[in-house]
Amino acid sequence: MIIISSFLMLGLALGGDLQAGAHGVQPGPVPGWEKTTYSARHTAADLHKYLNGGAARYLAYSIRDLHVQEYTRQADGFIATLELYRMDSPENAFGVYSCDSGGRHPEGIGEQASYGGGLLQFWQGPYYVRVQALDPSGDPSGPVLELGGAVSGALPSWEPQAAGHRGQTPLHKRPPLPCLAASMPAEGMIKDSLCFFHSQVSLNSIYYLSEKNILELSPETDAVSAEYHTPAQGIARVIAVCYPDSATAIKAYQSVRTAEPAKSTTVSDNPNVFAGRDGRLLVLVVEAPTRSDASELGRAVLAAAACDGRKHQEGRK
Amino acid sequence: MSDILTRRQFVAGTALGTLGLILGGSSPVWGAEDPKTKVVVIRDPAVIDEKLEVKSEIASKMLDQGMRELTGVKDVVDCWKTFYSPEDIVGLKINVMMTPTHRELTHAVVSRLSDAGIKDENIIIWDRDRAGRGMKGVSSRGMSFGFTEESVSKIVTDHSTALLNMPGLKSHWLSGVAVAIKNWAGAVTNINVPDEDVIFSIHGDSCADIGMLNALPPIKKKCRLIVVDAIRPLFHGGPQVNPDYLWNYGGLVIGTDPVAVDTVCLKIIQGKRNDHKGRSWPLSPPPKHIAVAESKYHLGTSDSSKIDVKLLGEKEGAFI
Repeated sequence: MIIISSFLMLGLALGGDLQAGAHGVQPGPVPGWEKTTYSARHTAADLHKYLNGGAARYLAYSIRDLHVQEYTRQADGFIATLELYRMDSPENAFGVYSCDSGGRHPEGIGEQASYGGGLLQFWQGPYYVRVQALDPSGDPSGPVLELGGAVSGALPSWEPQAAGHRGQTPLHKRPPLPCLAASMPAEGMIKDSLCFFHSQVSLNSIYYLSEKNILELSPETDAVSAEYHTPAQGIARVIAVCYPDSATAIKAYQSVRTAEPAKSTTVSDNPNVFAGRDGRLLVLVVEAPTRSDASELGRAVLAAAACDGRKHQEGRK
Repeated sequence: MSDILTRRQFVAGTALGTLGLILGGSSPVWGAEDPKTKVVVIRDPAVIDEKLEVKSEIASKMLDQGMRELTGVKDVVDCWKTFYSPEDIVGLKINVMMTPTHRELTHAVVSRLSDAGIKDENIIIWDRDRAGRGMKGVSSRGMSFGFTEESVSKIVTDHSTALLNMPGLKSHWLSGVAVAIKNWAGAVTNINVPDEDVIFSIHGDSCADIGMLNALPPIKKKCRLIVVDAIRPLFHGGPQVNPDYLWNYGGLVIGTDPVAVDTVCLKIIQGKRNDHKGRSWPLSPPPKHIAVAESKYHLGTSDSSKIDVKLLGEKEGAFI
């Protein structure tokens, strides 16, 4: 792997300040690669010019800005595009990554990485990064991973104070996963199915419950969705939400209880549902093959999931 | 305090309720004299090779076969004359976003419009406010026609006498799918996802009301034909592309009813998703806008019993 300490030039915030007001890192020179004339920078305000309706995906995770830079490999003219999405926190960089993390997982790039079809995705600190081959035919993994590795190696170290994280107290320099995501039961969870999110628009793209915000989702809520194998040889989906306070959790639970059935005759193949609340935590299980599967899985998640380092004690009796 | 709810009806009432509307409507049918609206799906896997290059000759041949099937007219030039006359100025609405209409297909359509007697300069190829004329416009679109005070493209309102809708086939993060009905989002300006200070509030409720654009009088009256590029569609996410979710379908979907065309395209995308996972993998959010386009804007039918789907070419993996 190429090691390039000078790959990225810090922008206006020289010294590593990645908080609000900084412009983050900008793509710089990469040995063996040439920058083409195609580059762009977008903020949250004009991200739609680059992504059209796709901008909403990033706005839901509080994106600060995006740098786009195209590179050509000098040896063979291979062209790849780098997209550096700077989110407001490592948790949100993880969130964007987590919701589309299928594929193979190359080691040593970012905190977590996935590759497939000429696209490398990874998250590192507050950055969610995409490196994509212009021509995905054949096997472009070699040069794509080479460029991605160089980017990962050059991104600044994560600084807890600067990042203003909301997760567990860090004991090392690796950014923590959001507590809720980290505490979900691993047993039975389908690989790459966990998605961390906050908002209703994100949930709708994962699993459609209702156009109404019956789960009371907001930027202040942490939520995960994950699929699990169940004892009855089926697959169920868990949606777990941590609220800022118990009152909101209770309100969401009551909203779930009283959700009015839509005027439709369509019935799910597996219409077994579990909903439970414990303190600030709400757990919903849908699509379970049996009622007991839904209940067993829901209770297991309620017992294991944590809203913060102290588990969900506030409001818990 | 802990609360537990286990209620069997919950999912039926909320999670999948809307999908039931998609194929269950009974609103007015396009073409009152015709008991069914025809949608042609034509497939040839050879239209795209392993390098992902589209073969122009095959795309053109598929288009001809599809048009013959749609119209029932043998002569391919006469097929096109059933929709467009030499006096027409045709606005050909392509899609240039991340799964763009393939240039080779656009070229084939422009060739046939030309064969039908439409002057090269009277074919306007465009998306948003970038346009080009005739064969040059297939690959070069540096012209701007602007928008009306009502935020509608002047190509739609002033500069064309007829329209041809050429979207790509893709799933969409906000609307479930984005095909014929949603392609008109590129015909208006001043739109944004929060729908703040806009004339057209199209994004709320999973873009349920985006049919309002197709229902705009100049679009509804002028659009005579839909040719969907289903050569390499996207079946998850979108509009931003994860290439793992692209597949070589090698198809075109041709029709005149935007609701029926989108209904068929939805079936293809949903079929591919289920096949990919080996189990049910419903689109999320459900594409409400197809049902609403039928029930509220009366743009066509999503009732599968009223859609005559003609599948030509490769049957395997057609999801029809």
